[in-house]
Amino acid sequence: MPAIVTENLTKLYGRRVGCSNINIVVAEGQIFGFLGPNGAGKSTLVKSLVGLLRPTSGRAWLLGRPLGDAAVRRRIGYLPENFRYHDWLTGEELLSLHGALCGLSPDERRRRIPEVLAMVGLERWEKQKIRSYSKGMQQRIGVACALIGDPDLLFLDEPTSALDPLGRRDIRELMLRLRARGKTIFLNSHLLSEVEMVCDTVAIISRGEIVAQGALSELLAPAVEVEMEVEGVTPALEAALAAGGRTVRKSGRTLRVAVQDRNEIPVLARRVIEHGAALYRLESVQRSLENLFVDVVEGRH
Amino acid sequence: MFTIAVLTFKETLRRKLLLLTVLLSAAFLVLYTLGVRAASRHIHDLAIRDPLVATITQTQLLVMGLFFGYFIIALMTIFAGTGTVSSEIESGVLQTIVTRPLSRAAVIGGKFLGLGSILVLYACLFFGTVVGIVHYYTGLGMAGQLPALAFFCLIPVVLLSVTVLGSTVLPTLANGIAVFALYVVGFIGGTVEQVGTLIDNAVMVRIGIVSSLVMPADALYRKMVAVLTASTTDPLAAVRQMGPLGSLSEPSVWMIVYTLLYTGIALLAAIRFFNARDL
Repeated sequence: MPAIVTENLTKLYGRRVGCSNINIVVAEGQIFGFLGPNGAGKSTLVKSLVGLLRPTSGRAWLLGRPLGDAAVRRRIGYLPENFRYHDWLTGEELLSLHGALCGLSPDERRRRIPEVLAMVGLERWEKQKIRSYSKGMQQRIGVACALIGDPDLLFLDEPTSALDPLGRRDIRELMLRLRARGKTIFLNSHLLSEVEMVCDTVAIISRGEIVAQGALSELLAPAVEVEMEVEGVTPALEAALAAGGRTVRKSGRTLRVAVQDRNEIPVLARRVIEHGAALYRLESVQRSLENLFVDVVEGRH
Repeated sequence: MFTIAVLTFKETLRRKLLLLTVLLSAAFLVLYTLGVRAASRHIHDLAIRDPLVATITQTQLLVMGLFFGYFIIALMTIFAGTGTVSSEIESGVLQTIVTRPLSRAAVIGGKFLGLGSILVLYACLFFGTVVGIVHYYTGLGMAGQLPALAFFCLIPVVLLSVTVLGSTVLPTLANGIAVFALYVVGFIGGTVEQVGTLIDNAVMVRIGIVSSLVMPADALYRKMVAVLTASTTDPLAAVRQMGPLGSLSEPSVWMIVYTLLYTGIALLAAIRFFNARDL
């Protein structure tokens, strides 16, 4: 059973499109990355799925239950992008509150709270009030709140935005451990490198619509990029390199050309020489998610 | 819902607004006690020479004390409740609460229960203290204390229902202003109705009735005063209930029924609006 299924899910704010005709399927036990530029509709979709927004049209199912089913929320955890909590509570009290809201008994909460605190690295801070926490600590306690009910499906909206590199690594490792336990994670993130490190499948949204989705390995695999350092690049040379529908990106003396087949690499070198340019360096690199993202969002995929 | 109620109860207890209200109330009650004690000496002398004036004085002392309580509890209800939903929407605190396995109705119900409990508790304590002070020092007999207490406790309940409703649709500040304005309409209308009854002016009485339908809190206060100071064997009852703070025109039992319906409808409307609202 898929963890998430959406069918033409749409959210309009008056005439402004939040997200439009979203069709995604997220299998259980995966980390699903959801990418998009600012204002593309990432948070709109997440909020629609967790029940903060009422979709304008379309349908969705979470863990086999239709959207709006209150009981299934017992199996879901959510960390908002703009995380805010009752700052007069201590970390322990906040987790106890959310544990109670998840339906955990007092004994279960007593057992579970130290577990989630250890998961997010806040073991020594549970007696302090939330208002005394740094932003990073507040984000960690937010992750802990999302995990308190041992959810099967976790929505994390920018879960490392306030964390230092060590904190980001900790959260990445946590996500991988959760996936190993069969949990499903829906990850909204601007940090493409982070998505590349942990996600199994991704979807890219732009202007409210999905523009690419699939397994990360499949989205990146067909394309190899050739990076060349060339002196004397002319428009004619660029056109010759782009012939056949190749994507050419120029930055100073560096050209990056996406090719479908390694056999095209010598062809590129010949084109450079034929057009009288000087080739100083040529190497093939695996296409990055960032390049895919830019290509897709700017319509070059 | 109970978890939300306990959270709201604890949160309200630690707010400076409550502390300030309790301190001001305590200060008032100290002064009030001193005033009633000083007056009581004269009342005892007056009771022999002029029993009518003595009775009026006793009743007015009671009504003044209860009026302050009515005013303070109305303000406390409005200020404590005005942001109960809206401020948490604005800050984002509600986002992780609403995504839990509880209905939005439970969130509204819990907040109403938690905040309402504190307000009703305060109302009980204040009412009991004022009535106790007056009875102790003046010996004033008061009928119907329990029904009067119930009406007094219903004042913050009805105001809170409207405040919570406003909090689901309006920003915090706008809600506070709107509910306070409603309260003032009810209060002034109630006073107009009292004067209209005194001078037998039907238009003024109708104005008062309409204002009570818009905001029944003042009608509850007048009913409380009437019940507390009434006595079927006392020919001076009507005189005792005079004055702008009194209850010359006692609201009927149907006004109480209306108030209960009004409260229920306000809460149902709050739930409906909150259910439909994007967060």
